Amino acid sequence: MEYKSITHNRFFRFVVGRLAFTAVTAIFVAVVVFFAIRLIPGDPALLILGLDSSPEEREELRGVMGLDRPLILQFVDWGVRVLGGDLGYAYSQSRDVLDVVGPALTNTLLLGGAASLIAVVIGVVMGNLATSRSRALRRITDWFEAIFLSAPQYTVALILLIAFAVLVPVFPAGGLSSRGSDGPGALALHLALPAISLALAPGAQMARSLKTSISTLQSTELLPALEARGLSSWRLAVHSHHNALPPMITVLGIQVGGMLGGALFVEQIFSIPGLGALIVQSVNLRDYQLVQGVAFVIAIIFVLVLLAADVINALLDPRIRVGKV
Amino acid sequence: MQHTSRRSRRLLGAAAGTIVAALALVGCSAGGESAPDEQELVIGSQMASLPSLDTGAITLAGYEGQRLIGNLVYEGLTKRDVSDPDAAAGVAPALAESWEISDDGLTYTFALQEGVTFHDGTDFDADAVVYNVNRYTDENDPHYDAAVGTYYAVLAYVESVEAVDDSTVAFTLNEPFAFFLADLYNVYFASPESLDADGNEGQAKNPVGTGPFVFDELTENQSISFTRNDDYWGEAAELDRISVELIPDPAARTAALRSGRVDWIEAALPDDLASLEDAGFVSTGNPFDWEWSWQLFTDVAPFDDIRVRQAMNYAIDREAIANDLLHGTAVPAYQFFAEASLYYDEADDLYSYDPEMARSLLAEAGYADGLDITVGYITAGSGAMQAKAMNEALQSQLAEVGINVTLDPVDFSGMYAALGEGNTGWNAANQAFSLEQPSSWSWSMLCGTNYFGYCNEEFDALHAEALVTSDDAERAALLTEAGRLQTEDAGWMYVVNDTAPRAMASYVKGFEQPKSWWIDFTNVSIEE
Repeated sequence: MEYKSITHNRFFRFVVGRLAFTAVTAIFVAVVVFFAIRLIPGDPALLILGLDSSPEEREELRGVMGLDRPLILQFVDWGVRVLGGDLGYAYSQSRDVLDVVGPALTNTLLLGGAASLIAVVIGVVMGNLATSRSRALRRITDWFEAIFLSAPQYTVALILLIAFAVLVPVFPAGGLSSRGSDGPGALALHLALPAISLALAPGAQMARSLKTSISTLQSTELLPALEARGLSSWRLAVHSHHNALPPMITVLGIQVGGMLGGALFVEQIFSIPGLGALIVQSVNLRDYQLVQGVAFVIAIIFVLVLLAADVINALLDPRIRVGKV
Repeated sequence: MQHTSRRSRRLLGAAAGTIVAALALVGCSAGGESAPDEQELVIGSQMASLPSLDTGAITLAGYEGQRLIGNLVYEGLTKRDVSDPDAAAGVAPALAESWEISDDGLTYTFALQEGVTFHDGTDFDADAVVYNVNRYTDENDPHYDAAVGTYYAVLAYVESVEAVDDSTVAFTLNEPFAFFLADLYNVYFASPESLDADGNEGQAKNPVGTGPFVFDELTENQSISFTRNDDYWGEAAELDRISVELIPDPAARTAALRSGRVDWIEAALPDDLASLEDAGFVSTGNPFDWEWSWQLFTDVAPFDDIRVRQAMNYAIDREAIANDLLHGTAVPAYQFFAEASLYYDEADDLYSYDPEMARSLLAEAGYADGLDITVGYITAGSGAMQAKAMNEALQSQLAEVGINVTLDPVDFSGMYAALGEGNTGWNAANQAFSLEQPSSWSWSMLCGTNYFGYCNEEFDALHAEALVTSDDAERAALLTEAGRLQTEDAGWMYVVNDTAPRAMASYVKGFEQPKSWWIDFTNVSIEE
């Protein structure tokens, strides 16, 4: 009992520590995002009013948008509002940032979730194939792994789109719904190609991690020892995958960042109205509050996913939660 | 080692089983598609985001927004006349049936169409006109919003507006302005009752106008749809429904058309048209008033020398760009005005492809050994056409006569920022725009106010006179003359005019593309 309560306590402290780190990261991201978008040349008022507007008109609109105030005040203003759950006003769309970001966030989470699932399947399947006894199978898997890892998501997305939506029209050519097809089934169909485009590289990365863990394990005496004790091959597989899981989860967590970046292109190509597509538009329109809102949300997702990966790993691996790695 | 492979095979089997099950699940649920009986046209648009739907603010999505959203839901007193696909688009009556202009050019009296109702069932009348104009211009109006009114520069000329009777409204101008009728075309009228009830916020989300289509539904960042207005005062549309999908990527638009996700795509990729036609799709295009040019910075070397500017215009092979590179989706521009412009005169086609002439002009100007220039261009977006490929082709053509071009790609906002701040480091800027609205030429042409250092006092005088000349023919002649001066000055390097290439399924009938950016959906139908 005594021992258990200590570990629980340690686990609790671990999570609190990681949460504090997450908050610091969020503040850092907010600062970078706020100032970075203002470093790109471009005047939001000029974009809204057009080149034939007078400097006075633009100055007036900048006043309305609060852009004439000192930067540091603008930042404090924004920070206070974000803390209150208000991401500001998207002037390019005359809507609250939250109203624009909300639906986009849902779509990106759907896409990211589907991609993560597919990536895990790819990772497990390829990781096992890459450590199988057949030399040919291992070769071929390594091949695919190299292709998946090096193919740019933009190209993969275009190839999949042309191959499976145009030449062999199995899947719809983009969007999240089409005429006469609605509901979760249609959604799954629409998400398939973009999710696969996003999942290939992270899947291959996870396969690599699984391959390393399994072959490391294969070089030890653990598996023969377990087999000698009469464990079935299924139980052996469970043991070896349990050992391989923490690094795979860490890889997945990190890869989510890459997926969010890749979503930028994939969402454009498959015209999925998600965060990636939204940030491209809002940067083009120099809609500062919208850019800040979207970038901040993306960063928070990334940080939360990393946190979740750490927590899951801590639950899986007692060494992590007691800090003895 | 045997256990490993047994384990792998099992796992593989399990994984494969999961995938098959998932696919079967997906396949089942996709079976429920039913062919809709209604005529719905789905358009794949290059718009990247949906604007506020409140009248003037729709222009935030560019002219695409006006074409595919604003003009469906709302109407102005006048409109662009796109009824004749072979003529340049002039002015036609819309919510105003007719008008009278006082001799001093200061009073415009409009007789309004009778029997027009807004989509909420309320009447469109003189009071509604006054209500809307006050909303756009009067800062004390409860519904005033600078972000909406700012697009209606024409209203700055309005001193007062008055309802004479239910169906007559009189505008008094503060100075004569000959483009008043032309520029009113996009000053939209929204239902006063809907504004009173739901304010600007309501209008931004649920626009209520008088147009041939009624706003139905908006899916954030994805699509917007409209249904036919069965109570439309004019000729009702044939289509039951129009949906506009946002597909900013051109290759994705082509794929969407091929797969049947959309029936019609805007701004089709020139390279895709031939294969689309082979696959049974129909492409349309018609040259319109869209000038794709390099605006030369004429106040600094080397383009302060007219000979260098002329040399540029002789050095390029416009036909190769229009016909080979763009597969006929553009027409060569040999002067300031496009052939589809109201102000075009064939006699002013001054420049031809003559590299010899270009070389000798350069030598005369002291650049026999060549010169280096930097050109900023907008990579993509509204009307930029195939900017990268076109500019690279021009770069290699100009290199032939010794002009070495460094290209500096920027995005739309970057171009605006660079021009606005005036420290571009460029010798020319490439952006495409229309000259159809001469009242807005100050930033592109007039002395002291344009961004390119161009100044021709005579041009300005002709332009100023045109602004107050109410006779259509006289006004056109003045602008033609002004354009001739600009062409003689070689103020720009004139390259091509766009034809607005579109592609659509063969069952889309009744569309004749006008010589205009604006289109009319009234006669478009779907016959399968």
